[in-house]
Amino acid sequence: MAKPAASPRQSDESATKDIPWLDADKKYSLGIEAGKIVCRNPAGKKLTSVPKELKESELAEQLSALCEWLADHRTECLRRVEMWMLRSLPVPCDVVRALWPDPDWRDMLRNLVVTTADAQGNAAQTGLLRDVDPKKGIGVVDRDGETQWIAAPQMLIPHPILIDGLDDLREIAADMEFSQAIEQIFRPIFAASAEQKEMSLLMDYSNGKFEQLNFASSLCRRLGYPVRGGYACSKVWENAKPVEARFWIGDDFPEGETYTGELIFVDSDQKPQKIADVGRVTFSEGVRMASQIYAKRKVEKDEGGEA
Amino acid sequence: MSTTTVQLEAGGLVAAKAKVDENAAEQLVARTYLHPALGNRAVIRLASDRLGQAEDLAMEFLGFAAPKISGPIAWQQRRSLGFAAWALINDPKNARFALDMVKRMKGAARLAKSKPGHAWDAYSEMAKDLGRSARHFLPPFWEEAGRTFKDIGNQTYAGRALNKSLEAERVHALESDRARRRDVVLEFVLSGCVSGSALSEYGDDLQNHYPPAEAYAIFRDLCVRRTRGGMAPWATLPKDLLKLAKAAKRDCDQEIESFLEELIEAPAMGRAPHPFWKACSGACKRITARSPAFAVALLRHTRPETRYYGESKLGAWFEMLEEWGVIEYLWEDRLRGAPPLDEPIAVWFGRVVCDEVPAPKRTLEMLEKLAPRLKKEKTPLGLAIRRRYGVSTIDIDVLEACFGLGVQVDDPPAEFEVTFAGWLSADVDHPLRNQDVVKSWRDERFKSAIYRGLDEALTCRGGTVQRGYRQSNLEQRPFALAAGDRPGICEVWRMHAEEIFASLEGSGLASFEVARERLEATLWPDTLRLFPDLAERLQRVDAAAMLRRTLQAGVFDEYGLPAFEKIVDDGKIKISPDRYGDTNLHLTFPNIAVSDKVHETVVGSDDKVRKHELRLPKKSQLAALVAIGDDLAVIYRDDQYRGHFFWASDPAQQYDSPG
Repeated sequence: MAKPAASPRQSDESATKDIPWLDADKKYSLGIEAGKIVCRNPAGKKLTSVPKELKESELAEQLSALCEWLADHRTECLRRVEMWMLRSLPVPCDVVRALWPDPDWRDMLRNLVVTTADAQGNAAQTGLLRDVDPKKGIGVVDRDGETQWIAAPQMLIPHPILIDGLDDLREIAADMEFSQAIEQIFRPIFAASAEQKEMSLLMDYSNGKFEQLNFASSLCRRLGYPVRGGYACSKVWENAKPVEARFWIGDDFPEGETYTGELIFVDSDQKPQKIADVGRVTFSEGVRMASQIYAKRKVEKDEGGEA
Repeated sequence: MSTTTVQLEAGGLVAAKAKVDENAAEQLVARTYLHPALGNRAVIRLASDRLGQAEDLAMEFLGFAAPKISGPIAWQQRRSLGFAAWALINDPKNARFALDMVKRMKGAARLAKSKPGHAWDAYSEMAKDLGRSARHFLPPFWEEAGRTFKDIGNQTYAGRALNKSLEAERVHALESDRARRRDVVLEFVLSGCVSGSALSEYGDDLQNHYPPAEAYAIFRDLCVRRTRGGMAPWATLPKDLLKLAKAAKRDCDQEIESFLEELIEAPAMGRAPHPFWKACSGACKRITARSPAFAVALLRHTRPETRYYGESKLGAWFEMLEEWGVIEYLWEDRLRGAPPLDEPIAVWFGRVVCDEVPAPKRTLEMLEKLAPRLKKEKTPLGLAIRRRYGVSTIDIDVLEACFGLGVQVDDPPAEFEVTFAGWLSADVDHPLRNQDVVKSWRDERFKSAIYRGLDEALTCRGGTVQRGYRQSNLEQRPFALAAGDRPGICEVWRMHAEEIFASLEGSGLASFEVARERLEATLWPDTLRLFPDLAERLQRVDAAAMLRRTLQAGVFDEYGLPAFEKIVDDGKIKISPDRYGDTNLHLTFPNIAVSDKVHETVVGSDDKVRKHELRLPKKSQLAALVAIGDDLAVIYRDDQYRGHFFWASDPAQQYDSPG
């Protein structure tokens, strides 16, 4: 799931000094730690919770709005970088350099497999993005585990299904404990079977029950799939053409129960495409969307556990 | 299209030095913001250069300081503008009124998720202020409000806000940016925030604001894109569209035909409501006459909906297909150069068959005509599909007809039934209705289900039965009349009767009672007339012998374990049998263990009684007693719900037990 994990901000939690405190009423101070508001009393001790009176102050309101906004900002960064990957869009290295100082952008970009590309967009070198330096350019760890500095005008973030020798890179990432904020090399990938290629719709994820359509649509929102006309949509650009995967989740009353339906792929004219004609990334992403939504269906007989 | 244009259109970024169409693209800068509460952690926004001021204001609301701005770093496609940005670009002189609102709007947007009503009130308040200061900002203002609701999935308020925006334009007779307006309406329409009736009104709006030809072009474009975007056309769409077409002095017939042909492949057309098709009926007929592809597309859209009550909607749909001349494309694949159906006809027809049981006349007719194609394609026909709830049911006539016509039938699901309801129908409306049942019951896959169906059918004495909630009733004939003396049905009928007789002859009192009731419900004078030997056999059934057998085997009340009864009486133990484990009676053949709070007692089959003191740790609960040999395993759960057990002979030695 492409959900941003909380970024590791202050490493030492007890280090209250590291938090930039803002003065609040009665000599108390407020600050933000790991995405939450924290409070310090006049004696300089960090409190376990924020006193009610302070919580309702204007400063606290602003800080909590800031916390929410920061979470949104992180999601926005994620969606943007993910889009670059899903649509195989080259990213000017100037942009990467400009964004790198922001920890949220950096978290999203770091450890992604990138291929540097020349001005025509042809791939040259592949490696895991480790660092960006205004002078040296883009620092990657290549397949041999060597660090390389590359000065290129733009880079590509390839979709895993397009990466040759994915296993090597997975191994390197695992060995060096590089983790990715955006699922790339460990992203579930799906390739169409010969049988599926003959079809124009997949029913493998149909009949998944949701007690309310609301539950299904808010799940889609969480996962970042817009819902249109009863379908969850995932739009991918491949070979310079937009193709959209659509997974039926129903369009009846929001409070009514609903069942998932077919997964189809439509071109910009909305004509359903034969799966053989659908690009590899599009197919993989479409099935990933359907499987993610289907995975959260209500299972009638839950054996033990959550129920 | 050049690579750059494609990349921009796909949402990509192009190097700042690249040559791009500057009307369609905008330059991006990185704005680095710092916040006192975040120390030196920088927040970097990728923002369009021309809209930087609006971004800064939004950030200021959160307490960020003025940013450090980089030089241009890339190009991106121009995006639709937010409220403040729109004001800055379009009316810089009055922009301050809009910018004043930015903070308040941010505040309302925060409310929108948890308290949409309060947020709405806040927006209304702001709209009042704007109405006084700069009312030409109202349309984009409401748009922005609507977008906020739309993004959190509150379609009701989103639609309402869009209406306000359109209304503001109307009421204040504002000059509107048409292209932008069109995009905005489309954006909301595609997220499902605008109802069909609101769109009808929007059509009227267009008529008032634009020259007829343009109004029609805009509306048509909206309808096309909406349908392509996956929304089913609304019922009065043809009417609304043609009203504008007429005003634009277009040929209405031609317009609706081109509209339909353009869109027929869109998946959303499969969900268009009945009145929509009814209104397009003439056009469909004309198109079908010249375009086989259109006919096949209509067949592809023939998808029965799951329904929980009410009549099947297929009847009316097929009537229309018939009228338009689409049906003939069903009997033969690729008729007159039509494209293929894209799925085996058996799969397509299977859905139709399963949609209505008992089968209407239409299903039987279609089956007969489709038989050659079904046989040629060789995909077995599924007569029962796994359903979400309830049991799927097969009409006996359809099943028998498949065997009769040589159509392969797919394996039924694990649970299914066969019904004679249509077979019994008083109105024999088709030669395949009420067939003699000859072949189907010889297929092992269906045999027992047909048997059960027959048992039910034999109880039918004629009259009216209900088919389902909100469905018309079904008139049935008495079974004997429907069956006649045809050999096939008589053979199964006879087997059914024989089975009951066998039960009467060989059982004890309890089963005898059951069999007698069955017989009473299913016996017809005709049973005895048709099968004279069975009549004789019935007369020979000896109730006295049955009673003797029963008494010899022992009456239930005679069974008992005196030792067990004694300890229950003596110890005043209350037996609480319970299926969900909360019981004090534990049966391990041939022993019975029973417990009260103090003791556990084991009674053997030889009347031997062993009594142990029940010693459980505090707050534990007895789970089971298992008598093994001379010993007794005591299984219990502690307060953490973990399982333990010990042997009654050695309570000190505790073991862990799973669950």
